[in-house]
Amino acid sequence: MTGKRWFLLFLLTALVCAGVLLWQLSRDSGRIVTISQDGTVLYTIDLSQVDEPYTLTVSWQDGCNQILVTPETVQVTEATCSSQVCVHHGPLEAGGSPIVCLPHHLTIRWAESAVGP
Amino acid sequence: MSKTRRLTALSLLTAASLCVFVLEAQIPPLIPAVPGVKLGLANVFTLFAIQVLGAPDALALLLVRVTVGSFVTGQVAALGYSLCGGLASYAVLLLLRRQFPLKQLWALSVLCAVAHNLGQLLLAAFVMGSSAVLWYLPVLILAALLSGAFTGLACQLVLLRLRKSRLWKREEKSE
Repeated sequence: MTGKRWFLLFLLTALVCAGVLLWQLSRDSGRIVTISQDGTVLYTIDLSQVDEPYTLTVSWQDGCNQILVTPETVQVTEATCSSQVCVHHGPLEAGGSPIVCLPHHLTIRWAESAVGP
Repeated sequence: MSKTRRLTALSLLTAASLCVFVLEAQIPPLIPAVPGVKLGLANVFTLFAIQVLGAPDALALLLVRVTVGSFVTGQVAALGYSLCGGLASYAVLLLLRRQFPLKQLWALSVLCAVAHNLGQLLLAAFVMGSSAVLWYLPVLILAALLSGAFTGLACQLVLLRLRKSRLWKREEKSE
């Protein structure tokens, strides 16, 4: 394999990835959010049923995450860890990336049932 | 290369790799939405070490840099992920390095970077028991293509210069 061929292969891979990413960002994610921890679904929330904002606390061993649920979106407002990645992520955006808290094994994402036409 | 020279070279490379790693950790995330996307400049030294000193030395450098680096930057919780990514990329490097001439080191480095990010992401999916993290797969592959090419090219240019000035000769066949 020559350098040029590698370059073309990588370019093709990059285009495919960019395509998948754009597809992920543009698809309709629905209004249902699932909050899971360590492989089990803790909450399934239909945002269209939410009238008033409220907070949930999810704990893991000696730590916890505070989750704010509003009629529009969900976000982690506080976390007892050093990285604060999930807090900095901000609210869950339509089609956007899931909120992930690695130390507390927590994921917040749009429900899988929303996938499809 | 004498034993003392080799040990000195390895220590220097490891220390330099650690310094670069710690320095790079001070830079805010390139893409705030996706933490973990970074250049990985410290890997230039792993690549350099496997070419100049050999595979066992490069592994030693990698392991010391990852463990000490995670303690120095206070990211001990992420040590498992760093190790998983580092070892995945080292495995690719070890298996494929003979197939790549020096002028294509950048391409090998891209494959290593992809393996690194895949390793980390799969470990995350496994630990979390959730496929949600796979959302980040295309972003992380894109990032690996760029950062791998950059770090690989950096090492490749240095090695080509060293070879040209006859300070170093690649042992093509023997270990």
